[in-house]
Amino acid sequence: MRIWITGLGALSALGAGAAVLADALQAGRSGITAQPGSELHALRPFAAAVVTEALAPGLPPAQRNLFDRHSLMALAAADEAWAQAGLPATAPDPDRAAVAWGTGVGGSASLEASYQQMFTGQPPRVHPYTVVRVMANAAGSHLAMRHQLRAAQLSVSNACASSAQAIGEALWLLRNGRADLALVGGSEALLNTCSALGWQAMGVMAPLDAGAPDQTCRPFDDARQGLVLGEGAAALVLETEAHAHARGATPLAELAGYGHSVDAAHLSRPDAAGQTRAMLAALQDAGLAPAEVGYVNAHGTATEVGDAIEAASLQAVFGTRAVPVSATKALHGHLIGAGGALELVATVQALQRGLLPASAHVRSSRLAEQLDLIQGEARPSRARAALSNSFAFGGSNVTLAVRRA
Amino acid sequence: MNRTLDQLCTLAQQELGADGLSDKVDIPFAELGLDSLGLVDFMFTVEDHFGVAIEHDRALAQPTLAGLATLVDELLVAKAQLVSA
Repeated sequence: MRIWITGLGALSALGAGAAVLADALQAGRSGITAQPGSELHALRPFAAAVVTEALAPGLPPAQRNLFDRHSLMALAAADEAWAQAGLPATAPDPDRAAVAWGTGVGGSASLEASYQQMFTGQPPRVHPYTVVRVMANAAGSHLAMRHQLRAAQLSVSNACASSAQAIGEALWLLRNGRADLALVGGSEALLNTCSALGWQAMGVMAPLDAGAPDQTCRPFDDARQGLVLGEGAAALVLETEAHAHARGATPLAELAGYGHSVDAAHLSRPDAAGQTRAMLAALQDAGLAPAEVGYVNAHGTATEVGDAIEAASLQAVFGTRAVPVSATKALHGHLIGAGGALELVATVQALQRGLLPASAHVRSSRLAEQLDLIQGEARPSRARAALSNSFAFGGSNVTLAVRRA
Repeated sequence: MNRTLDQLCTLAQQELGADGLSDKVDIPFAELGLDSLGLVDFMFTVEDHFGVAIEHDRALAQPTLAGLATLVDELLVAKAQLVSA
C-alpha cells in the first residue's frame, strides 16, 4: 500500500510556510541570530534560531491560555499542511483519521514559568493550565480536537528523533489499515533560559560566532564547534493512495519507508552501527536500493563526533561519496523533537523542485573525502528518492525515505 | 453598573473575545463560555488586575460577573482596611 504526502507546513526561524523554508534553504539564507544570554543566570550569549512570527494572533486569551508555545507553533504548521491538502476543517471521516506528533521536551516554557512563579511569586501561584500546557501530548491533543482526528493519537517523545518517529509510526499505522488519513509532524519551543543553560552546561552548543552569528552552525565543516538550538514546527498530511485518489487530492510525494534502530549503548554518543541499521531498514521498508537514492538530508548537528560518525555510517550504507548529502540545520538550527519533520518537509521540496540545498557555511571539510557534500550553491538534481536522518540522544535512530510523486 | 463590574465586563470581553457582556452580568460563567477550568484561568486575570487573592470556592458561590464584582468589592474593602490598620 502506498502512502501519499498531500500537505506540507512549516514554521521556523526562516519564516512561516513550507515554500519559505525551501526558498531560504536554496538561497543559503540563515535564520540563526545572536541571543543576549543572562548575566543573572550565568547564561552566556548564544546563537539560536528564533521564530519571530506572531502565533495565533486572533485567538482570544481564554483559548490561547490553553496553549504552550510549542502547541501554538503546531497549530500554525498543521493549518498550512491541512489547507494545502484541501481538506475540510473537520476530517471527512473522523474515525478513520489519526494524528501523530513529536516533541522532545513539550511545554518547556510553561514549565519554566511555573517554577518561576513557585520560587518568586508572592504568594506562589501556579497557573491552572500548567499541566495541560506542559504535557508532551498537548500539541497532538489540540490538533485532534481541531480537526476531529479520532482514530489514533500517537505522541512521541524520543529527543531529536521524536517527530521523525511519529511520522514513521503513522506510516505503518496507515499501512496497517487503522486509518486512511494522518496529520503528522512535530513542534519544539525550548529557547528559554533554563533549557539553554542545560544545553550550554552539556558543552554541545556552538559558541556564538560574534562576527557572524548566522554562520555559527557549520555541519561537516572542519571548524564545527557544536549545535545551534532552534524552535518551530512542521506538519505533513499523509493519506493512503486510495483515500487520496478518491477525493482527488494531489500527491506531493510518497512517504516510502521508515527505519528505526536503537543503539542501547550511550546516552549521548552516537553509534555508526545503529545509524547504519536505521538507514538500511528504511531502504528495505521502501523497497529502495542505495543507488536509487539521490539525496540524504543528514542529521548533521555540527558536533565534532556526531558528524564524523554520521559520515562513517553514510559511507557504510552508500559507499564513498556515492550520494549527495547536506545538513540544513546550518540554516534553521536544531529543532530537537521537531527537527525530523522540518527536515522531511525540506527533503520533499528538494525532490519536488529538483534542487538539493547545500550544506551551508562549509569552508573546508575532511569529511568530504567520505561524503559527496553539497557545498556552495544548491545543486540541480533528478533524484527520485531521498532519505532524511534523525539521530537522537538516548540512542534512537530514525530514517525516513521519500519518493517523488 | 458600578466601576468594578464595568472593569470585570471589559476583562471578560478581552478574555473571551466577545462583545456586549455588560448585558449578561447575571448569566452564569459556564453559559458565557467559561468552564470550570476556564474560570480558574479568568480568576488569574482578575486577581492580577485588582491586586486581590480570590478563593476559588467563593468565586463559584455566585458564578456570574455581578456575583464576582460583589466578591471583588468585598476583597478590596478588606484589603484597604488591612492597609489602613
